[in-house]
Amino acid sequence: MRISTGWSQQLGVNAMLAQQAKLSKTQMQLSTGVKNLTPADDPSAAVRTLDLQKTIEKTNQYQDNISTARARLNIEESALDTSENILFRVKELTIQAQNDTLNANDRISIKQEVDQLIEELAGVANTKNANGEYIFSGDLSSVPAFVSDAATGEYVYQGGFHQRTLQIGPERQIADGDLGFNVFENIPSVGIDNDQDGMRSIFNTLKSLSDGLAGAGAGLSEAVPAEITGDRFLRYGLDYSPVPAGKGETKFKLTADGGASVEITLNAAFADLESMVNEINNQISGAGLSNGMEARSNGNRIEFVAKTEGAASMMRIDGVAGTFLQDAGFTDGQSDTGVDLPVDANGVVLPLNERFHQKLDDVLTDLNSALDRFLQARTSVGARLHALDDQETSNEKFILDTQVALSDTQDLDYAEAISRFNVQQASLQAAQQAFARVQKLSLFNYL
Amino acid sequence: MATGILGTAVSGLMAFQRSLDTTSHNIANVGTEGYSRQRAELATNPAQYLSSGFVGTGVHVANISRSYDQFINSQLRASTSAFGDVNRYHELAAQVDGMLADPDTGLAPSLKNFFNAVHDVADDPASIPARQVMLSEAENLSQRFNGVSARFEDLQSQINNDMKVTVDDVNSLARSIAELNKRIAADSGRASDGQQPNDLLDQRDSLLTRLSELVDVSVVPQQNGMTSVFIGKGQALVLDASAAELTTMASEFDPMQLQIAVKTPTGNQDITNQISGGSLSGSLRFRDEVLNPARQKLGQVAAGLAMEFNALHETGFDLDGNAGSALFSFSGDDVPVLASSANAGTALVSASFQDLNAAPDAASQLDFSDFRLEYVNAGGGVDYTLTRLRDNQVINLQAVETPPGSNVFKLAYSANQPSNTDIKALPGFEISIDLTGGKTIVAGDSFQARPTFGAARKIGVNIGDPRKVAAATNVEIDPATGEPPVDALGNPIINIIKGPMPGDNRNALQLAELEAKLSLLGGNASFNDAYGQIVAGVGTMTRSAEIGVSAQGALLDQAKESRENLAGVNLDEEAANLIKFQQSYQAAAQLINVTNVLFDTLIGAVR
Repeated sequence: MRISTGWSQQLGVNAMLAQQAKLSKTQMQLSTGVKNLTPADDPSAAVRTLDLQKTIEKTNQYQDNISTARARLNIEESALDTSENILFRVKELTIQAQNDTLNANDRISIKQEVDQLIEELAGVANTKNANGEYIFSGDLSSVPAFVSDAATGEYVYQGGFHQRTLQIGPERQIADGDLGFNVFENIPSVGIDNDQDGMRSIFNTLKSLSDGLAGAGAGLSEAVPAEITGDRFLRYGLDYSPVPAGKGETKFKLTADGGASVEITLNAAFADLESMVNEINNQISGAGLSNGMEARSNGNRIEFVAKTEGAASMMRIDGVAGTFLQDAGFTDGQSDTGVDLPVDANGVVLPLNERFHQKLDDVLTDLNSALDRFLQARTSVGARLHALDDQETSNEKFILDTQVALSDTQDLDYAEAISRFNVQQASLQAAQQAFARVQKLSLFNYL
Repeated sequence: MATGILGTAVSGLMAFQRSLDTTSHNIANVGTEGYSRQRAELATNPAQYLSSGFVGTGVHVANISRSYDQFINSQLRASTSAFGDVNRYHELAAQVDGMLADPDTGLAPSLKNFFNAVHDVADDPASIPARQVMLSEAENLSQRFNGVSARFEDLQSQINNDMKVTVDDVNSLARSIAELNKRIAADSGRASDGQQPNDLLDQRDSLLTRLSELVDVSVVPQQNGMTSVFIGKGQALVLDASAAELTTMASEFDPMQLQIAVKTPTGNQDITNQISGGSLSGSLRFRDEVLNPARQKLGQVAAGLAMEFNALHETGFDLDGNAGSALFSFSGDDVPVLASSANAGTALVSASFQDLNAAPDAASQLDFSDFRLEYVNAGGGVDYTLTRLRDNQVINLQAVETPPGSNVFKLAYSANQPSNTDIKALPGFEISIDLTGGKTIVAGDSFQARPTFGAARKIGVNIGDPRKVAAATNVEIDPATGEPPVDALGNPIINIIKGPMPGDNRNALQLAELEAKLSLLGGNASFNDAYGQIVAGVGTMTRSAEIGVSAQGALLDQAKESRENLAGVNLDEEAANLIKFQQSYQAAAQLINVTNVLFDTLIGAVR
């Protein structure tokens, strides 16, 4: 067979080019440490790499979320710890105040310490996290959880009603705090001035103690008026302007002592709870009933209070038209009656000293309920911190496993690649030398 | 003619000189592309009859022939065009391949960063920096979509330039071949004994091989030495001495897509479908098999992401308690619709992506294809047909005047569908026909809608103010149960709080969960999966092209080798011939000397 001179040279060049291409690819692999330089090298591995990288990134994000949640729960834990200590001190003071040898002045000085402790507890309940969010205000984290109502002097909860959760695993969310409403506000109470549903806020319990030490307040100097409270969130008001912009006009009837009633009509948009309360109070006084009843805002909710005290005091709400009752969280016909001062078996009002002791006993019971509630909250926080640790470990394990899989998929086997590099280097040298030798051969050299 | 020894010797001198000429021609052309080695073919001169018998009278050059095999040449051309095709395809596909999985240019890292930023907002919904980061990452993500898409467009214009240059090359080659045909026919006519103009033939073969790099070539030899050349699947390019002229033209619905056409006296005739083989076909195949599907599929991810995200974002509430707006938007029309230039009516047809709050599955119905809408007016719920152009599946659409009396018609998925269609719902976008102000539509009018083709190029972020990120759902919760409050019958009351709820992250959590939602490709793929499928698809095609390149490269080498071995110049062989012919020439010269000596002897004898 004959080989043309041009082709024999081309063959040599082709061989060198092929060896160089292989060498260059191995060099790229060695310098990047990656097995597959482009998806075309192994399409399915390329997709698996994308998937694994995504999974690792995502799980790293869960780890970040866990750190965030842990930091917040730790803050809450220490806030609860401080709150417990405050209540322990209040309990001591209460027991001390029960002592009949104390005179009014001694009790006033105890009252002053209790007032300080109330302030301190409010400070704890309004703890902020690193972002400046109030940790007990739920999703309404920009407003303090508890503020003192200017009209009544009571601390009212004005935070949100939803506790946010963080994603800490593919299928796992965890609450990063607790609502002030559940921790401080909604505590079972035996006090005669408790809410209609038998609950009272710890602040009101402490205020009751403070008033009692001054010889005033419900059960001592005054009986309890009737009061009904809606349980829906009305902070941002309601829109009763005509459909479709609003919900349309609504009407309801308020009835106070002796059956005096007024029908309230709401047919405009109310930007907040205050403006709605003002409008209702206007209509009450328009009907000449401002001595008998009053509407009040309680942070986020609306309540109707009778102006008179004692068992004769009565407050009742009935729906007439529209959706007010449902919006504000009342049931149709919801009513409450007031409570008289405590009496003995013969129906005679108990002496002041006995009423004082009974009031402080009720406070002690309520303090224990509150301590139980704090303990529950701490336990729950502890359980969540534990869950975070568990999830963190499991995420770490998962990241490690995934990284191993990723490494198997994309990382280069250096030992294999280096020996391949050496072989290819030798082949290229051989090709170059062979080329140089063959090209030297020519018959013309001998002519 | 001189006879006797002198005549014979002179004929030898002449013949070996010609042989030496040919050998030196071979040596000189050892590096000439397409050159076929030549041989001087020698033949004896006719013998002279004398009484003693037939006496030889020497030698003459009968022909200068070239080593040539028509079969090997046509095999070389076929291999050249097959290699040119797959090589061009691979060059282009490798560019897309490298771009898609690169951490610096691919989409996957941006997608991850974006969803991580959404998670950070869910962790800290009240934090302005976290919201700002999310918007920046959204911006980043949409720029990455734009960037990848812009690279696709660059490739598209690269292909267009390539096609124009290639078409110019084809034209110039065709003209040269036609010109050579003319000269070869003239030269062949001049020769008496079937001698051929070897170098012209080589030139023509060489041009044909170069042409076959660009496009598939079939060659039909004619009696007069001319050849007719057909390209692709039979389009005539050179007929005898006349060459057709190719050109490029924009396709009807997309000026960026060039088509190949041949100029005819009545206008340009589209022959894109006729093109096969060669780098021209490689570019076209790349465009149809890799580039356009990848653009469509990337657009599908972009459109799906925007639809899913916007729908959820619009149900949420921002930091100021206002309802969320669309996070992503598209510049210009969401879904561009072009009317055919042949339409008789004047109706204004527009299309937009469906709202997922009204049609929850719409994102999964998106398809990586263009659609042709045609007004058929067949009645029975078949007012329009919509054809999916990638596989020509057809569905029927019913026009519903919305609102009644407005003369604006929305097209709904008809109850009456062809039995063989596998499109079970509107393909992610809805069409409306505006016939107000006396506009008309005529049966047969057609329109093209391109929902996904440009979506990745056009996606952008609609929100600049971090407060407007809708992280909250504002759904009221009963604090005691942690669930929405219930009415007297126990049904939940979904009450939306109308004010700002800065700590509410419920919508952000749902947005973050979209990362894992199987919202694309008929509900079988997340955004990441869908992108992975693009990467895998391009990777697989690039890999098979790579294999094709090495296989076709080997075949091409074989064909080249066969041709070179037959027709190539071997210098050693020529050196040997040189010696042989030199010696023969010297021997013939010696004969003249002998004649001279004989003559001197004779003269001396009679002196």
